[in-house]
Amino acid sequence: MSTEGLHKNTTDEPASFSVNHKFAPALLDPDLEIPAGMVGPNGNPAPKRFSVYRNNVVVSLMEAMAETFPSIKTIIGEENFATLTRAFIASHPPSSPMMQAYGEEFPQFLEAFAPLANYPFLSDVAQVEISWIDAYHAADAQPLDGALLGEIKPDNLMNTRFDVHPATRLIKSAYQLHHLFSSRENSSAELNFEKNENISAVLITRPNLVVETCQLDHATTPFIENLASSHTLGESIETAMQADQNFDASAAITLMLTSGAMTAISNTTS
Amino acid sequence: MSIKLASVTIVAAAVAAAVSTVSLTTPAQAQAKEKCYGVALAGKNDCKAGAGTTCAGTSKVDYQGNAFKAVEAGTCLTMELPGGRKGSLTELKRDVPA
Repeated sequence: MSTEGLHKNTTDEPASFSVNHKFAPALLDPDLEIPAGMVGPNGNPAPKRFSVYRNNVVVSLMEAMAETFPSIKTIIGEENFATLTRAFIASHPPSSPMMQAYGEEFPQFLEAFAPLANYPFLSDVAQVEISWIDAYHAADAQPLDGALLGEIKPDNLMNTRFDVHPATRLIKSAYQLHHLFSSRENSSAELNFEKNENISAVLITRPNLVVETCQLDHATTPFIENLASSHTLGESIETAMQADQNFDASAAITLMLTSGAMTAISNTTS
Repeated sequence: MSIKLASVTIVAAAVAAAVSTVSLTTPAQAQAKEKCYGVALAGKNDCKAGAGTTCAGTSKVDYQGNAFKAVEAGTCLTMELPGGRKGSLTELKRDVPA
């Protein structure tokens, strides 16, 4: 990652802008020298002016991170969050002018950040938070109408496949992910960081212009995952039953319909 | 070799149960929403688009034409608003602050 993105364009840039090569990196690294040519109205070097700007850049990115990752902020506390985001910002300058996408690499950063080795769930929580934003900005689509499913002949149901809704996201974790993610709504609630026996997922959908999240159990997780990757209804139920013999297929199909995870029946050929 | 657990009967029964549950709990279009422009009160428009965006709760005037609110599907165009205004499924030019 690093600051490479800010250094390119060296060849096609006019000479008068060459100050930019030193300008951008110096914004995120206070140890770097203030770029030459930073002068005030009197023509004298203006290091304080540059420092003010540097501060504004970093603070605005920290605010963006706090807005996108409120659950992480709640779990680790404001002070730790500030330290952590400052470290992230220093090594991840924005690559897009759209602030809502800033922090996409935060989950990977958290996973690789050595001091957090004992908090492996943070990366999963951050992934749900960034996926929430992603789902919000995904294309609009009408969820699948349950009545259409009811019209399919029983013999064809096994081979029925579905189109996945553009906003549907599935984030798998060994932790009680939805519970940890929900800390954004109730910062004083006691959190459970125990590891589960099985992997399960948080499902993110946006059925009616509003982003919704729910925790799936360890059998419904592969069920939705299979459906979303164009496996047939029969195959998806089979996988879920192999994961747990007590898998409630009717409840899982109800969830598939009410969550709006799918949009249409893509085929019923056998 | 694994024994197949899912059968046509199981799948068909599960689908039938699910479809009837869904039709009982969510009558057809009841849950559907649509984006309705020009109906939100100042500062009450919908949108939560993440960092760096300035939209949710930022409409300046009542019934601002380019701000939307999510409403029950099918109700936007028939909504009664003061001053003969009507809701719209697309952005409007009226009531837009300079």
